[in-house]
Formats: sequence, C-alpha cells, structure tokens
Amino acid sequence: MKKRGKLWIGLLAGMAVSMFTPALVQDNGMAALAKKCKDGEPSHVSKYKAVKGASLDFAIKEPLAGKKGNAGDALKWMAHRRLGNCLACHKISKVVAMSKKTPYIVVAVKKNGKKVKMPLGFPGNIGPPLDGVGGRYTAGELRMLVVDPKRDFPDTIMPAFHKNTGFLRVPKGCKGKAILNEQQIEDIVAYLGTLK
Amino acid sequence: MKKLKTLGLATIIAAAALAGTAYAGERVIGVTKPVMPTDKSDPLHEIWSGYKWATPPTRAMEDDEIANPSGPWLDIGEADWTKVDGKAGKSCATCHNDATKSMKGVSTHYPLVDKASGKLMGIEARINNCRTKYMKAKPWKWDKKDLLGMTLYVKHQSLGMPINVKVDGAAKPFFEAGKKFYYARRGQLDMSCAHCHEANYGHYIRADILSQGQTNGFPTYRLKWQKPGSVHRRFKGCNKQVRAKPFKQGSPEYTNLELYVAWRGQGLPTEMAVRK
Repeated sequence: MKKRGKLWIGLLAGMAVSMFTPALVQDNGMAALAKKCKDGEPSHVSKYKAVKGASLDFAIKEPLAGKKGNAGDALKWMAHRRLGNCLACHKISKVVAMSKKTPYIVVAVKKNGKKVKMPLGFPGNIGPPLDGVGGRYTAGELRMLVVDPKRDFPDTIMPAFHKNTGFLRVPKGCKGKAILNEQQIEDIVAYLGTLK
Repeated sequence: MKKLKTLGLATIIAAAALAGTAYAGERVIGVTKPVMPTDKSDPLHEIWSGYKWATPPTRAMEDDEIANPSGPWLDIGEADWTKVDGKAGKSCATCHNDATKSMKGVSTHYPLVDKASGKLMGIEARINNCRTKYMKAKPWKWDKKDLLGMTLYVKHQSLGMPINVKVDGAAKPFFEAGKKFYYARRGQLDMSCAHCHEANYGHYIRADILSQGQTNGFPTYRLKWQKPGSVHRRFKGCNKQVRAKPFKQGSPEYTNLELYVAWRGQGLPTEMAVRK
C-alpha cells in the first residue's frame, strides 16, 4: 500500500503555493457573512423617478435626495471591496495607471471612522471598461445604471447599488439594506461623468 | 475520402481515450481540448475543467501523487475502509471487499436516485446511508476528516473516468429543481450561478479568474481553505459571496444543484482537484 504523503508535506506545500498567490478573495466564513453589511450600508432607499433616457430606456434625472456629488470621493467607494467594488468588474485605465504609483486608497466610510486600505489595481473584466463612459451616457443614465442597472439591462450580472427589497434569501445583517447611500451614488455619478 | 475520415476519427477517439486514462503527463481532456457536450441542451458549448485556469504550481500539486495535498485525507479514507465501526460489526470492506475493484467507476454516476428510499443521494449521503442502515454506525459529519477522506477514497477509484450522471426517469424532478436553483438570482447582490459560471467563465473578477464551476474535482483542496472541501461547502461559499443565506451541506437544495451541475460537466474526467 503506497503512502501518499504525510500531513506536514501537504501543509507545507499548500503554504508555499498560497504565499505566492495574491489573496484578493473575500473571506467565506459565516462570521464574515454577518459582517458583510457593516460598512455603513443604508437601510433606507430614496424615492426616484425613472424617465426615458437619451439612448437608454430609463434614466434618473434628479440627484438622489438632492445630494451634490463630489467626484473626488468616488474612488473610495468604487475601490472598497464591500461597497461599490466597481473595480472587481470594471477597468478604468486612469485608475490602473494611478495604481502603479499608489497601489492602495485609504477609505474611512464614516467621518473619523476606521480607515481601511483598498487596492486600486487588478481590475476585472466582467463588465466593460469605463473609459469614456461619461461621453456615452448622460448623468441621468449613469445614475440609473448605478442605482439599478436591471431597469435598462434586465439580464445583467451587475448589482443594483441603491435597492433594498426584492432579493432572495438576504442574510440578517444585510436585510433591508442597500449597498450604497445617496451621497456615494452621487459621488460616483459625478466621477463617471468626468471619464470622457 | 470516407476511409480516411473514419481512420482520422478512430485515431482521435483512441487518443482521447488514452489521454483520459493517462493521469501522469500532459492533461488534454477538458484542459487543452474541451469536452463537447453530448446533450445538445447543455448551455455550455464547450466543457472545461477548472484545471484549465489553474496556475502551473497549482496544477503540479494536483498531478503529483505524493504531493497532492488531499493525500493525508485520502489515507484516512483508505484506512477507514477496512475499519470496523458500528453495532453491526462491519467495515466498508465487509460488503464491498476491495475498493479498487468494487468502487471503480461508481462515483461517476453520483448524485443518483436511491431505489430503496427514492431520495437523490450524493456520495457523502450514500456513505452515511451505508453507515447508518447497514453498519449501524453514526453518520459522519460533512467536511470533517472521515467523510472527506472516504468521499475522496471512493472518488479516487474513478480517477480520470468521465462524469456520467442520469438525469431522466426518476432523476428528472431533482434535475429540474437543480436547474431552477442554478438560474435563480439570489442575495443582496442578486446573482445566479449562471451569471458567473455560464456568462463569465474565463473572465477576471479582480485578480481571480472565473471557471465554469464544475463538480468533477470535488472534494477539492482549496489553497484558501488549506484542506479539501465538499462541493456543498463550495456552494455555501458561493451563496455567501453574493450575500445570500446558504443552505446546509447535504440539503436537498444542494444535492439537486449538485446533480444539475454534474450534468453540465458530463464527460469531464474525475479529478482530485487542487484549486485556489
């Protein structure tokens, strides 16, 4: 009977390989599931009017809750793994270039809150690159796409970032919560508008 | 012309058959050449093993019989096979004798419908069914070393053999339920299995590359887990990643899903997979 290896060989081999593998996957433990909506996710959603867009079926022309977007804050929410996490699926060439000099952006979700480092590099390619998106869609269309892209693209994989009902089996910590609040949405819409 | 065509086809089939059994050496089926679905209703037009997207060091770990990190658990399974357990004074070997003969090809048909109970059973459920019904022993817990080890050991006897599950007849309602699950959006992120594993396999999510989410390599040693894990453990992780409440390992929901996903990968060789 051939012995296939002792426990320590397997452990050492596993450790060696995993040290060279970028650890950019999210934790899957149940404790982590409970914490997934602990980054200030809003438990209310603003009402908005979806009207016909310039080229899309639906757009939201009015800023959510009358907030004024600050494009300078957008990347914090876009890079944060548990918030927008936009870079998981979308490449922005400007940000990739930025990441060569500053690999991380420091994010404090709440004012004077805990600071976390979120990577700016390694964007995914599940969604289209966002280069030039400000020239392809109006601000109203961009707002609709971030708030609830399924209004315009019913089969899309992209989540709705300002929606808190109509989901299947949401766990306790996330129930009734949207992913992004109105200010974060407006910041992102303002930033996307600059990508021309 | 016809004779050449037949000869060519015969050569390809022979090469494919040889490649499937040649576990050492270069992997072809599902890695450099896709498995083509025999069932035209399979939404995947090409079937790939996750091995295709694994890095060379990870692949090397899987291929090396000594260094495959699931080895210690496989040894536990092999040892448990002949260990008497339970009030009936039996071991697996009492009924099944030499596993290398009696279990050859068996796992390729799982999950399947157990004739006696009418239930859909995966390998883990079958093992526990044998333990409780015939050995009068306690069922083993999911994702603990004994059930992991025995599942690995049983599947190991079919290493390299193609997945071959039955989805018609008694299996049909379970298959349909699994299919419904696969395409249902869930969680706060509102995603279904299909969104990642059908629409986006081969694409990057951050620095991770999405596979087709096949089951042929489970229990898989994930470097992330630092141990092998069952396919139901992976289903739980996927559900949690889209912020959806998972089901339990061994649940009917996950067993149905396992049958459906196995069908999507029909023809893929059984692997003792190592993945990220």
